[in-house]
Amino acid sequence: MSPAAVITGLGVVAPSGIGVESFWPAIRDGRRSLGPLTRFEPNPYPVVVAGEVHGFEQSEWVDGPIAVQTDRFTHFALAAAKMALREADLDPVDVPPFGFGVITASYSGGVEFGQREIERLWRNGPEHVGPYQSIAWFYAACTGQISIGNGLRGPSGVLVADEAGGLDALAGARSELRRGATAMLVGGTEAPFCPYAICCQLGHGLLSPGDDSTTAYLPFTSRAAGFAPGEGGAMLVVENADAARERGARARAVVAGYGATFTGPQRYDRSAEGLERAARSAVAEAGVDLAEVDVVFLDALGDGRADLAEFEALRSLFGGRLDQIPVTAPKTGYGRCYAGTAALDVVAAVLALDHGAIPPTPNVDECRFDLDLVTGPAREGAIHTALVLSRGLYGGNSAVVLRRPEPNEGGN
Amino acid sequence: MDTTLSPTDLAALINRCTGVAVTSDQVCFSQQSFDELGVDSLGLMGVVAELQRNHGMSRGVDVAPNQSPRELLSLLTGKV
Repeated sequence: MSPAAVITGLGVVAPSGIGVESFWPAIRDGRRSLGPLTRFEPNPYPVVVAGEVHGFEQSEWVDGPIAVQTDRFTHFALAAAKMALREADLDPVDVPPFGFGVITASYSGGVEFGQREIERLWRNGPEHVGPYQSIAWFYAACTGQISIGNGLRGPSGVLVADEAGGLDALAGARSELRRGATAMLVGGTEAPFCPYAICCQLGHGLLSPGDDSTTAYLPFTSRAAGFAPGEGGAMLVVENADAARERGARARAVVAGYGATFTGPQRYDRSAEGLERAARSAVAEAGVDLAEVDVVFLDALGDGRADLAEFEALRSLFGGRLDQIPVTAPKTGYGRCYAGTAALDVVAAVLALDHGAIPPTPNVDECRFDLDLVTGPAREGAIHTALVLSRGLYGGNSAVVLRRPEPNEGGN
Repeated sequence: MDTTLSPTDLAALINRCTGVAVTSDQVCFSQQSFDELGVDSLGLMGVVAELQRNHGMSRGVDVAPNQSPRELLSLLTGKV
């Protein structure tokens, strides 16, 4: 059996905080980080509540020439990667050549950069479009820039796999570790707030039109009316457990199981079976019993049919025990960051395992299903196993099981 | 259209288009190439496009990364 894949570093750029030292207290305390959409003005679109990242100083994280040739989503990814490496106390030069790779998930690509260049194109003509547009918009920009910037020459890739891609990327990184890589940077970031990107998002019909940041995104309630979009995301360092232990790194969680299914675009009502099967695969592969799952991090799409489907998936999974299993969706406090969403959920789950506390579902104070939805203060108590669920807007359903590492896996 | 460009202006333009900090002294006196300064081919393409659009540089002129900002300036002042 190949050594486990362990998470040793977390990097976060989220509306709730930059860096885990800000992000954790914010989600633990259920802080609300949704607000008016201000990245562009005027905003004539029927979406006014969003999760924006404030206080991000790109110059602190990204060198001048790289900043000029990349979009905000890549600035976030480079910053999160730097934080994750720092947290893991891992210098890429200490990893065998070709042993360190990177996989990111992307949904929007470099849209703010693209907006600027489209405006130049229409206003002044094609010769006014800057050459860096060719690389800045690209879904692969984050993987490429992280790889170049950190000298990572190992297996690398990009998943344009919708929101669930954040979990799929983590599974991809684990596969590379099994194939012989020593360490992987993995995650996803988004910066989807500019007019043309908002127009693209309006097509999926799930953006909440609400103008009150405390009620715009209320999944699992009778008032669910879509979701508030967010920007930001996370990058994680995942390592071969043996290599991590040898260098004395602390393993924060084991990526123990993964499953994925596809149930077709825009058919959220049909995702129940897909989500259930993905979760069953993940739990089976993790070698844990469903009864051992201590918490579920929900997808929480905020659409009545989709919420019902997620509830049905959970009911099929857990049966009569469902009301005894805490479930949560910290993202109601900061929005759905597309391909960054699941990466942030994984970070939240790792921090929950670490701190022995389940962060709540901000703004939500009722639940129309028979679920033990954590609201109010964080729920304290030892957590060994977490199930993270994610659905893509276009039909992907993915699940990951994370568990606390055993002492021989670098746990403490 | 502004067709005169001082070394300071050119340095600022290179900085704006590529993010690479270049001083007017480097533009006037240094033989350092764009490559050595850290300006890649896409960056240089952006600089040249900007000069052609706003500073009267002929569209037939090609500048390579192994040339220096000083050579570029002399191309401009010579109005090639």
